[in-house]
Amino acid sequence: MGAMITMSGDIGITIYPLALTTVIPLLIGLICYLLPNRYIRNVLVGIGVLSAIIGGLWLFFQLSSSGGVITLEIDRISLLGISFSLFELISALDFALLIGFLLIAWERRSYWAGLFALLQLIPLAWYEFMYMPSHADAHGSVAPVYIDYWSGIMCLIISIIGSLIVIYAIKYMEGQRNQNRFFAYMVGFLGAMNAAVFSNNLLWFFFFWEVTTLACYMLIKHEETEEALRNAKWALEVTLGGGTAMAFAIVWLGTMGTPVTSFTELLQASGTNIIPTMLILALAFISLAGLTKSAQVPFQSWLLGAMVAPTPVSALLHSSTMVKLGVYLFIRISPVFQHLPSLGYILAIIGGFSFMVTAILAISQNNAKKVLAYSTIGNLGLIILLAALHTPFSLTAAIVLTVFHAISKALLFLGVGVVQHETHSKEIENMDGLILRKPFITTVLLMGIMTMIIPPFGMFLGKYFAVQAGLEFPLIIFFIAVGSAATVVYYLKWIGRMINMETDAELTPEHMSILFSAPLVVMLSLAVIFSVLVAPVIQSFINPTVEVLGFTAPVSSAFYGTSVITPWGYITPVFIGLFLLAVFLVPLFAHIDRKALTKVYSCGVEYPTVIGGVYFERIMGEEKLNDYVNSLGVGLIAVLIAFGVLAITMSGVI
Amino acid sequence: MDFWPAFIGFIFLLLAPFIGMLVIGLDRKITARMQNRIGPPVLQPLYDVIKLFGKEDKIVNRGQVVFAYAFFVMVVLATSLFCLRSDLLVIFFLLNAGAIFMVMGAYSTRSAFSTIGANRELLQMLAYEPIFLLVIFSIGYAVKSFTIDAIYEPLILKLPLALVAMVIVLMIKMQKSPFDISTAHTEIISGTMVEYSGTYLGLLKLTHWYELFLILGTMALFVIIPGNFVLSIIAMLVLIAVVYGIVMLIDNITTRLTWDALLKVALPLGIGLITANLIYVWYIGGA
Repeated sequence: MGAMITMSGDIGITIYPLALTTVIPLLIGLICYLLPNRYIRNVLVGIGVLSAIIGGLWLFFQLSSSGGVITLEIDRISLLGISFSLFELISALDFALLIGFLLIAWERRSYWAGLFALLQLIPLAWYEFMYMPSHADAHGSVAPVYIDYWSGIMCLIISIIGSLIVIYAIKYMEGQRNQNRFFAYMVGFLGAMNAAVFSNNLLWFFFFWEVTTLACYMLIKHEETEEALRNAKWALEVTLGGGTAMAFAIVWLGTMGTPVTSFTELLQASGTNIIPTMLILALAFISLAGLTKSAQVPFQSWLLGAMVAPTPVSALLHSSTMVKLGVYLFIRISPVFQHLPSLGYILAIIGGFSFMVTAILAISQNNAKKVLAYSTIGNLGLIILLAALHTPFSLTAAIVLTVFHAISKALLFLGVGVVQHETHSKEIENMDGLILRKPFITTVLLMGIMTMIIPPFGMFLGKYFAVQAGLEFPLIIFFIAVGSAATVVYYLKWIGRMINMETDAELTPEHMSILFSAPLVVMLSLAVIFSVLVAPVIQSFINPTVEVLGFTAPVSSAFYGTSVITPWGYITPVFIGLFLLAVFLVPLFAHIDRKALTKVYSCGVEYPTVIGGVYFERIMGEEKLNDYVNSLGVGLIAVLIAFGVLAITMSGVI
Repeated sequence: MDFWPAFIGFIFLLLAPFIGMLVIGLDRKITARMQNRIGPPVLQPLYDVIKLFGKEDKIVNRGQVVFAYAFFVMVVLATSLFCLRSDLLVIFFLLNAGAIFMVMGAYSTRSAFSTIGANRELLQMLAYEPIFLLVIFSIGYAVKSFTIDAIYEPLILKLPLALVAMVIVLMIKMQKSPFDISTAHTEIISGTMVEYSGTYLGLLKLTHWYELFLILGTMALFVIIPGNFVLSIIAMLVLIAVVYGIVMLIDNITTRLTWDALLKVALPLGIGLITANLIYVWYIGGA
C-alpha cells in the first residue's frame, strides 16, 4: 500500500522535521490508543519521542541556516489520490473537536463546558461557512506555517523535556490501567503542541490549542476517581472559556476591513499608528485566553486542581509545556505592546500580581505538588509580566525564564513523582528526614530547588533580569521583591523538612529504575550546564530569537563567554558556579573526626525531638487569602476587558 | 581596571572582618554603658572568635559543616565583589544565597531550638529581603545602573528614605530589638547557631562580621563623594556612628516583636519608605 503525499506550495526540506515533530507523534498517539500490548506500545512511544527530538534538533539546525525564519505555504495534500486542502481538514477536525466537547459536557453534566463549546461552535461555523466563502480575501495571503527561533526554542523544550517526561512516565505508570489511552494523549499531545507553535494561521493555532485542552482534560481525569473527574471538569470549563475568548477574537479579526487571519498579519496591523478598534478588543480577548491557559489569577484554581493527575501529566502539561502555550502566545504577540503600551501594563500587573500572590499562598501548602503548581503559576506570571513590558531586555528575560523554568520545574515534578511513587505520599510533612531513607532523590530535589533560588542558576538569573527589567516600569518591582522573598521561604522550608536528620545517622542509598533516574539526571545536568554556560546560550540561542522577534538584543557576553552583560550591570555565572562547586566538594576532602559528632542541645533533657513543619495558615493560608486574591484577580480581568470594550466605544487611539 | 580603586578595594576586603568586628565590639561596650555596666573590651569579639577556633569541634552531622562553609564562601564572595565595585544586585543575591545556606544548616539538625530558629529566620527573610531588594533597586533607578562604580554622587541626595529603609534591614539582619525574633537568646538559645560550636561557630561569627561590613558598606554608598577620598571616609564614619547609635538606642528600649508583628511592622514601613522615595526620584526626573 503506498500513500502518495504531494503538497503544493513552497516547502523545501523543512517538511521532514516538521512531520517528525508533529505528524509522527500525533499518529503514534492515535495508534497507541488502539494498542493494548505493553511492549509494542513502549517501543512505539520510544519511536515517537525519538522522532520528536530528532525533528526538533533538525529543525533548529535548519533555522540557523535559513536566517532564523522559515515559512511554508502548505495548501493542499494528496493522499491516496484524494486531494484536500489542509485548511479544510483542520477546519473539519476543529468542528469534530467542538462536537466532542459538547458530548463531554453532556456526559459530565457541565453547563459551562457546553455553553462555551456552543459559543465557540456558532461563531466559527458562521465565520467559516457563511463569511469566508463570500469574501475572497478572507483566507489571507500569508503562509500558514511560520517557524522562527522562538518556535524553534519552544519545539526543543517540548520535544526534549517532553520526551524525557514521557520516558519517565513509562516506568511511573507501570501496572496501572488504561495506559494505552494515557500514552495516546501524552505522545499525541507532544505533536499537537509542536504544531501549535509552528502555526501562523490563527484558526490552525486555535485548533491545536483546543487539542491541548482536550488532552489536558483526558489526562487529568485519567484515574477516574471522584476527585479527578471533578477537577478535570473544572479545568475543562476554565480552559474552554479561554478558548471561547480566543474564538471570538479570531472571528472579529477575520471580519475586519483588512482581515487578519494570521499572527504575521496581526503584528502588521498593530504596527500602525491608528490601530483598528476591533483589533484592540480582539487582543484583549486573546490575552484573556492566554491568561486562562497559563492559569493566572483568578484562573489559578484549575491548575491547582489538576494536581490530582499522575505526576508525569503535571510535569508535562502543567509546568513545562501546555501552560507555556499561553506564555508562547504572549511572547509571539509581544511587538503589539509597543503600540498598545496600556494593554501591556495591564497584563504586566496581572502577571506580577499572580507571581506575588502565588508565592505567598505556596508558603501554607503541605502538598508538594500544590507548592510546585503555585510556583509554576507564579513563574508564568513573571514571564507574562516581562513579555508585556515589551522592551528588548524584558523579552530576553522572558525567553531565558521560559527555557530554564521548563527544565527546572519538570525536574522538580519528576522528583516529587518518584517520592510519591516510592513512599505513596506527596505531603511535605511525610518527607521529614527523607535524606536518610532516600538520599538520591532527596539530593536531586535539593539540587533542583537550588536551581530555582540560588545564584548562579538559571531561574535565579531570570529573577536578576526581572529586577533589571523593572527599571523600565518600576511599579512591578514590588511584586517581584515580595514574590521572590516568599519563593525562598517556601522552597527553603521544604528543603528543611527533607534534610532534617538525626545525629550520626547513616544514609541508605536507594535503588531506582533507570527510567526514573536517567531523565532526572539528564534534566539536572541540563539545568546546571545551561545555567553555568548561560552566556553562550544567550548569545547563540536567545539573542537571535529576540532579534527575529524584531528587537535588537540588549544582552551580551564577555570574557570568552563567561559573563553576561546587561545594560545596567553584569554577572559572571561561571565564577560563582566554581565557588559553589568548591564549597560542596569540601566534604569529600575534609576529614571530620568521629569524636566530634555529638547529640543536639536540648538543655540536658534526653528527649527524642519530634519536629514538624510550619505553614502559617493563620496569616497566609488559602482560606484567609483566597477571597481577596480572587476578587482582585477578577477586578484586574474586568479592567482588561473594559480596556478592549472602551476601545470600541471611544473608537480612537489608545 | 584602574590601580587605585582596585588597591583600595583590596585593602577594604582585608579590613572588612575587622571593621565588622570593631562595630560589634563597640556595640557591646556602649550597650553595656547604657545599661550601667562596664562591659567587655572593645576587641572582645575578636578574642571570642580566636578562642572558638582553638576549641574542640563538636557538631551534630557532617552536612552542617558544608552549609557553614557555603555560607562563609558566599558572603566572602559578595564582599569581594563589593570591594571590586561590581554589580550590587549580584552582591545582594549572593548574600541571600549565604543566608539560605545557613538556614539549611540549621534545618539539617534534629534540634528543636535550631529548627524554630530556622523557621523564624525564614520569616525574617520574608521581612528584610523585599526591603533590601527595593533599596538596591532604588539605587539602580536613581543611578541607571546597578554597578557601584557607576555611582556619581552621594545617593543620600536623591534617596534619603531608602537610607532609612536600609536601617530597618540592618536592624533585622543584625538581630537588633525589636526585630530579633530569630536569635531570641532567652527563648531559643541562639536559634540557627545553637548546634554549631568550636571552629564552625567561629566561622559563623566571622561571616557575620563580613555581613555587617556589607550592610554598613551599602549604607556608606549613600554618602560616598566620588573623587574625594578623605571626605568620603569622614562622611562614612559619621553615618555609621549616627545610624548605629540610633539602632543601639532602639535596641535597648524596645522589646522583641513576634513574627507576625515583625511582618506587619517592618514590611509596610520599609516598602512605604521606598515607594515614597521612588515616586520622588521619578518626579525629579531620575527615570
